[in-house]
Amino acid sequence: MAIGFNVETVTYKNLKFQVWDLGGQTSIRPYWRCYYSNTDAVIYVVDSCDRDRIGTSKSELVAMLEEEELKKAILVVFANKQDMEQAMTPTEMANALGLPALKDRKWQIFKTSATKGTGLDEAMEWLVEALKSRQ
Amino acid sequence: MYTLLSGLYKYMFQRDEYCILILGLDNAGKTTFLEQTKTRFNKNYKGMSLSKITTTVGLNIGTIDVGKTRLMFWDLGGQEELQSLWDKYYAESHGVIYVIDSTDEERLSESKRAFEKMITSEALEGVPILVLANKQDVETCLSIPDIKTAFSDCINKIGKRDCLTQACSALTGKGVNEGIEWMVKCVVRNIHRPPRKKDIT
Ligand SMILES: Nc1nc2c(ncn2[C@@H]2O[C@H](COP(=O)(O)OP(=O)(O)O)[C@@H](O)[C@H]2O)c(=O)[nH]1
Ligand SMILES: Nc1nc2c(ncn2[C@@H]2O[C@H](COP(=O)(O)OP(=O)(O)O)[C@@H](O)[C@H]2O)c(=O)[nH]1
Ligand SMILES: [Mg+2]
Repeated sequence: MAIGFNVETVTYKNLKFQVWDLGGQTSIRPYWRCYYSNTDAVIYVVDSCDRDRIGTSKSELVAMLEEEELKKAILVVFANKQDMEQAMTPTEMANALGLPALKDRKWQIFKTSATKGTGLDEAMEWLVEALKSRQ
Repeated sequence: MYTLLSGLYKYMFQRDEYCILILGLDNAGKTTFLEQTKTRFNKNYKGMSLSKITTTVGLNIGTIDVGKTRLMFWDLGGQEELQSLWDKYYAESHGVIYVIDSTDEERLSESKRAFEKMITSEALEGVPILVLANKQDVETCLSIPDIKTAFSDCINKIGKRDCLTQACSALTGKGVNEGIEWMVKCVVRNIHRPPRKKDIT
């Protein structure tokens, strides 16, 4: 769990990513917006098993994407904890997060498991291509 | 004076924008078609290499200008589970491009079922549909008559709308311009779905 935030610079396929791991606790969410400028993509990590809090994840996401500075950002959702049996499917996740309402933004969901390390490579490859082919 | 100026402003800085939904089973070539279209109609678009395209579990977007008309594309995932997201876009769509993999005889009936469900949806009533028989660069592929035969029992469900079946190769670009030009003509003349006015920035 991240308290406050961690900043890391990651280089992947010649693209430099500055990664902000913003903690999810309610008290620090207002500070997320300090990091929005120059953002090309947002990676939003969601616990696919936590159906109780998916509504909160949705409202946070919707509020975040309304920020002018994120207007052009690509949205990548990591539907995490896919190693668990009760994990939501991508369609369930898309609906729960209200993604079909985003009509002007490129978005994609990846099934990931941070503990098993699955899905992450595929997602990063996709993001690299997506960033290169922006209009 | 105001009217003149605002008219001039609209002429210079506004486009009629139409939303085009790209549908079809996964692997039909929807994303490849969108990339090919963006590359052909946008001089400055570098594009991604078509071989790097991966399965869509989400939404790809793209816009092109054809004269004074702007088309905005929505390319959705085609996997069965994801098809339930399609109808969320129907109410705002001005046209549909339905892509069929002409090399996949096995899934042709599956594609037909998805097509049938789509065209019988009320939210799409009267919306022009371009059916692309894609992958026509592959020698052994099904011909347009083959595909029309397989889809023949859909014909009476198409209703009052423009509908064209076009041979195409998203990979080589064959048939892409013809398809887009047909679509532009149809969405512009369909008075039941007027365009959105969009400022060009
Ligand atoms: N089963 C499973 N557990 C995970 C996965 N990713 C994270 N966790 C667990 O979820 C908890 C919270 O993880 P953390 O990375 O601290 O989440 P953060 O608060 O969003 O930064 C930890 O106990 C992790 O071990 C996953 O993919 N599968
Ligand atoms: N031969 C051939 N292959 C194609 C054509 N269009 C797409 N493909 C291939 O079909 C596969 C699926 O394409 P994609 O655009 O991802 O399909 P989507 O799932 O409908 O978006 C990829 O391997 C493409 O290279 C085409 O016109 N001809
Ligand atoms: Mg696709």
